[in-house]
Amino acid sequence: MFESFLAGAELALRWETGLVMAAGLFLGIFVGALPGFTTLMAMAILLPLSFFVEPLIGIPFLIGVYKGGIFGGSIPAILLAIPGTGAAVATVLDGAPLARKKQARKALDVALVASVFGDLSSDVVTILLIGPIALIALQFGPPELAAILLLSMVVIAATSSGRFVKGLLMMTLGLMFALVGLDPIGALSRFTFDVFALRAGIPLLPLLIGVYALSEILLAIERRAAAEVRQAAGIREGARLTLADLRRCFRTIVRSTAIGTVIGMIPGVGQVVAAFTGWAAAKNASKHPERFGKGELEGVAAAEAANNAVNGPTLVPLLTLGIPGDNITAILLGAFIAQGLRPGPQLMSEQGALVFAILIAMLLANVLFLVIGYLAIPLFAKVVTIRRSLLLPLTVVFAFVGVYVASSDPFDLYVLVFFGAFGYGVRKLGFDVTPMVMAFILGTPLEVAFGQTLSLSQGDVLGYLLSQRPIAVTLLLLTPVVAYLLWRRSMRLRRVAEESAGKA
Amino acid sequence: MTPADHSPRESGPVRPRWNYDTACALAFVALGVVLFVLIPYQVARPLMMFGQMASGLQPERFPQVVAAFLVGFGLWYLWQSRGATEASGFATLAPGGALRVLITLGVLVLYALLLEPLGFVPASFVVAFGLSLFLGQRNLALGVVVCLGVPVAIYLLFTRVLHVSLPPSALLGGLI
Repeated sequence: MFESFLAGAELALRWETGLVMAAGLFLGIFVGALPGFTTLMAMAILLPLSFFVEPLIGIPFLIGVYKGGIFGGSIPAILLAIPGTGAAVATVLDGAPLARKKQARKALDVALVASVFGDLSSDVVTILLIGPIALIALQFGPPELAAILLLSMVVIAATSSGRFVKGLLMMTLGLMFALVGLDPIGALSRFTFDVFALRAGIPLLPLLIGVYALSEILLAIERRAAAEVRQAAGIREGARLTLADLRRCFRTIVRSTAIGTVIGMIPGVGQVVAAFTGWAAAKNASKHPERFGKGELEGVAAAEAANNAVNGPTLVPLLTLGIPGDNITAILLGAFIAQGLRPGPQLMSEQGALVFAILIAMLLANVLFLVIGYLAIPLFAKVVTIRRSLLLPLTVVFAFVGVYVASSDPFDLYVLVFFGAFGYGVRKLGFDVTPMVMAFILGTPLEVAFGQTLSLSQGDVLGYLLSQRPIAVTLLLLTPVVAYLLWRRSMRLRRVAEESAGKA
Repeated sequence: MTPADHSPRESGPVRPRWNYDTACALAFVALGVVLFVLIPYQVARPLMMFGQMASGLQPERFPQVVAAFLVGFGLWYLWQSRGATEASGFATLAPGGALRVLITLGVLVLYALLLEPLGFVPASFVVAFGLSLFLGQRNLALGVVVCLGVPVAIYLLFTRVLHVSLPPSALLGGLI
């Protein structure tokens, strides 16, 4: 493992990798700063670009977009009281009041420092943990893998927005979409309705771009968000962040980093839960909790450190087990697959140097992150007021380009439009699309693992599991328990968010 | 995980039994039933060897499980819908919103249809410029420059730099 780490370090220290990460960071912050444009959208649209370059260029580029986007969302959160990304919702609670008190620049500075610290620390933890977890994952067989996949999907459904049963229904819908094409065990045709293009199944890229990017565009068009040009708080006046401010926030940043790091490793939980948990923990630990929600600098630091600390560890289940922990890592999974790399237990043993190279590149990206963020904050502050009447149509063009270049098949464009309309419709009806996407991605590996378990058990699944696969049984028993606990926690955090937003 | 302002909103006291949640629940139950009915017609039969099927997971088993879950979770949702208070997001559509979305969807389908016959640059310009006008862009010169310049730049980036093909047009002798 150590040899892989050293080989990875050698691979990562190339100027091309640094350059594309810087480009990705810049683009990510830019997109994150645009209200109504999500990091997810940017990554979905830019994903096809990674197909035509080598893995150490394409994947670090997407990771740069991801990191930049999570921080970028704090810019409109502070300047406009509009979270640029879901992860920045908790930042609005104290960021917007600080901007109203003419401390916008200080708030942006602390958001940047907290983001970089949280991200950097969690990347170090990821590098330390990934080897041992990969070794454990290698011991897993089909029953354990099936159990973990089921656990992941149910957890994601439990932590999705809306009712638990709606998350489960979307998850089942995703499994249904995954049935289309050839069955993964016998390669027999299923639900193709004699459409030749469907024999390869529903393509992943148009589905991702459709539900995450196109549906968002349709929602913005419905609300006439194109016409909205809001007045942003200025950042020229007001004090900058001082060392004394930073010292005051340091303990909060460290606490939130720890919270975000742990949450990042759990599939399905993600930045939003991390941000609110970090914010709530900071408020509880503060000597002046009454200041939170009214312009407390530690509130911004807590939310940003926690949501950025998720970035690194969220790759752990993806790289070691092949399970995307959230929608962002689902897109990264697409990038890995396009490069001929299948994340999972074998990846570390077969391509360990490459994996470590990517993780080390992520670590180095934090230095670039600090520099680019610090120098470009005034520029990004202007981005929030760009008219959507030009950006939205161009985003449509980018979405179509991304889908077309991946396969040169016009059929994929119709799939893109279908899932754009589908994503719009289900979101208006209060369903979260993420469980559907996760189940679509994990459905085939789940069916394969289930089929292999059946073969191994020779007809007596229960007896086989109970007598020879205690880990799988434990995971299966844990599934409803963990789902219930996470669902209760997310309900409580949502209530905290609603109460705080109501008071702010 | 989705932005809160697109979700249904709390509408106060418990609504009548027939509400949008009930309709959605019934739709999921119906989908599960339809899926189950379609299985014999849409799932190919596995090969028989010496009068026996291959062992392991049969291709129709997983679809049957999925259909059962759709029906089961649909019925659970139906039960919960009796006490639901959220209003559908469609009930709070922005004025003219439905028409804007439908027109946009029509434009997107047209874009998919015309991308190859017309070529990437002309099709993208027509769609981007048309949509920008539809969304309120009033500076026509800026609109033309941006909506033409960006597709041209994208075309050159992909075809000349990344060596990936995009449908050419008849413009400039097929240059773009």
